[in-house]
Amino acid sequence: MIEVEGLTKLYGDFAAVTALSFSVQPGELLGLVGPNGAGKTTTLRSLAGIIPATRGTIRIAGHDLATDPVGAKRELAFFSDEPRLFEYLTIRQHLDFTARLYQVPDAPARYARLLEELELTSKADQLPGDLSRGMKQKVQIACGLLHSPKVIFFDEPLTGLDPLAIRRMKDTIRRLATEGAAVVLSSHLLHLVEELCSRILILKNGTKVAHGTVDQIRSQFAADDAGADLEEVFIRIATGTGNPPPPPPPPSAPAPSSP
Amino acid sequence: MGNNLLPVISALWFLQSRSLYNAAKARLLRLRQPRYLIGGIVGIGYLWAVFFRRFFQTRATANVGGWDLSSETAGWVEAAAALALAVYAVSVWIFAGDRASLAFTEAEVSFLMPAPVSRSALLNFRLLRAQPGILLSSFFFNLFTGRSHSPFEWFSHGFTLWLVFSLLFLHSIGASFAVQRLTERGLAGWRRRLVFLAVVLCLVGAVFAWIQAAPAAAPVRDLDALQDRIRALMSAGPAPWLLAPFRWVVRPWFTRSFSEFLGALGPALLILVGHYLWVVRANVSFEEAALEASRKAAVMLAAARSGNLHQLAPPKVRRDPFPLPSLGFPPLALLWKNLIAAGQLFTGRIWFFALMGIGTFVATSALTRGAFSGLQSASMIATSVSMMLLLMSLLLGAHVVRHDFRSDLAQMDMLKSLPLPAWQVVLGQLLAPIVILTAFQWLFLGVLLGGSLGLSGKPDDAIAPWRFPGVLAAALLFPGINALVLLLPNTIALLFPAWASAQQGRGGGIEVMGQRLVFSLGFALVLVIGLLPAGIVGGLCWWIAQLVVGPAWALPIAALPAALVLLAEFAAGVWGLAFAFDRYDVTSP
Repeated sequence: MIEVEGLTKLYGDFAAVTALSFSVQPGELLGLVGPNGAGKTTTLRSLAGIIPATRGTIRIAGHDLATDPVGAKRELAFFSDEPRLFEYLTIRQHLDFTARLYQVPDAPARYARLLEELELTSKADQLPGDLSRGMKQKVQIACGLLHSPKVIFFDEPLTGLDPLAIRRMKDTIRRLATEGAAVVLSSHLLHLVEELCSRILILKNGTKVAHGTVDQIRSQFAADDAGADLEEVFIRIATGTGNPPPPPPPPSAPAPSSP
Repeated sequence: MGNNLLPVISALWFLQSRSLYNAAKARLLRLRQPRYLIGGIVGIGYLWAVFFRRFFQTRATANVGGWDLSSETAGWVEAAAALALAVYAVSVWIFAGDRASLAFTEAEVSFLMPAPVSRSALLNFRLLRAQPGILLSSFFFNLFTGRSHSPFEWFSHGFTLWLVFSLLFLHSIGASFAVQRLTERGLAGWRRRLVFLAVVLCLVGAVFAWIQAAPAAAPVRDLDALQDRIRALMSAGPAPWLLAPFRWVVRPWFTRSFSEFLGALGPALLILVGHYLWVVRANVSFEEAALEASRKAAVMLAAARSGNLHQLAPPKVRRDPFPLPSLGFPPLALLWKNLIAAGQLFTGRIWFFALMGIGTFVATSALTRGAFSGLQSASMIATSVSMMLLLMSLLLGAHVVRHDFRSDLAQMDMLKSLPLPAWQVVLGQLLAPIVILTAFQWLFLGVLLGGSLGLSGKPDDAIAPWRFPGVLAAALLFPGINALVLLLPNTIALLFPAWASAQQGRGGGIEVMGQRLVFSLGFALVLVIGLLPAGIVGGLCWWIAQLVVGPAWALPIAALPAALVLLAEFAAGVWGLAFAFDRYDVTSP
């Protein structure tokens, strides 16, 4: 569903992301973690087609983001860390606007359901300025889910939410993955990533340093501590005190052709 | 003064000196970027050419005595300045809010309010912090009024300006403190304003009563008589007494020698010191109001930096400008959104009523043809105003109506993630200001037509044959011109977002002023070049068409191909901007 090969993003001489490759399958939830400045947001923005990759290939639901950006974007939703809404559009107007942009055929029925699910029905004719941060986050989610995306990117989805909103957001993310979406989630909240994500990708200085399940990463970087949680592993990676990653496997010999 | 004033002053000195040093350093360092370097060079060149060169040349070559006012003229100017100060002082009391007005920055609030600093020390901090700005304003005001030639006049004028600005600042704070006290004692809002207004009216009434009672009061028949009357008013009766403190404040500016200046300085400084003591001894609880004022100042600063000062007022729920079904041409969604952003003025209902009004006016004018003098006056006003507004809409419209990429730079993340080809996003974003400007222009054209018809009916009505064809030609050309004009600022916003941000008030200084000059010149140049092909095509078509239909009706006939050329240029512009949009980096500074 998401296939990334050799993604590199340069700013002048500075490499924000270097030769990143990974894939996310339908129903899979990938956690993107790393210290500040590791390149998480740049990666997510590149995957969402917001910033162009300098090198590499990104395929979203089969569409190459470089050659078919419109087709790719039609299949994805990107939720930024800060819900950026138009302050002069009501929630309903946001949904009308999004429906037209994504050409959603049965928009009124869909957004009525979304508003109901996200408990926004009574706020539908209010402006974002009248809403709490959590509510704005919900509006952003309603707009993003209106076109039933197959690929979803969350950048720090829990920032500024209260405990109840955090619980609901976690349920939403989990449900989306269960319903078959490929989800990539970037967060500093390691317990959230550990709790939700089936696989984890750790970035440091724009480079992939670990990719796999929590157990795989633990065995790779904290083999001496079987009880180490993701936080412990993360700190070891960030401070460079973990086990060195194993050398890359030697290039495999071409499979012998069948007689 | 507060018992802990010295530590506050030392902290203030540290804050100001480090801030100034760091700001100057940052300014110098950013000159490494070409956009600031070019702006800096142009800005310095402009200031030199317009202000400093004249100053130095005059210093070197002339022995002109500064403003060189005759004593009578100086007296008039002094009285006018004093009157202006008096009006300001009175208006502060009438228009002030009910709470003390003393804004701190948000950083000052978070650092100083919880700090162990007395209220008066905090107040002194705020008063002293205003001084660099006041000094700078005095310097530039002195520079821009620019006719002070002798060093003495440079000093006396500059010092007086500093004194006046300091006094205005102190007076507005002192008045707001006094108003808060009155509010706490129950005299608030309109009641307080009415009391002040009554006092002012009593004073003005006393002056008028004196004029009426004066034995030499002759009827004012001409300008000389009016001057005599004002002179008499200023030299005797209550007016000189009422204006005296204000004249004392501005008098140093009008002195001609250093000894005269020193003599005039005494009363002015006394008033300044009196104001200072009035403010620091007021002991008004200003903290809560200061928090609110700081929040507002921060909002205003953020709005200015994002170039959205017009969005300062909290938005209201606005009706859809037109129904937006979920299927259809997607760029219309961006037009729809931006029309909502533009406000309630752009709903179909408002435009229906506006068109009805204009239609009625045009029909009445056409039917009566200037038969009534009242309608003729209205027509004259309507014609002049609409022509002026049309001209302004062409020259300034693109700078005023900014509901396009310029107002959505903060939302570029969202725009970039839309599943639309770039040209559709660009077109959608440009449509709203084109529609708004064109709608206004067509409206003004309607008024112009109506007004012009109202003035018609005379035998020597020379414009009669040109009236309808001219308006029709303009109506055909305006959308294309608007589209072309709007391409320019949006191109700048997408290709040079940092330049565009600087244009919107992010940072100041000579280099930013220079950038604005460069932009204005570039804007004019590109506009001329852009309009040239349409002008040539239109001109040629007009020449051919006038052979057949005459010069007047050749106008709309020629306007049509010219409009098509403009449209083609716009399409090419959208195509080019689509490339720029594709390459726009939301992370660029």
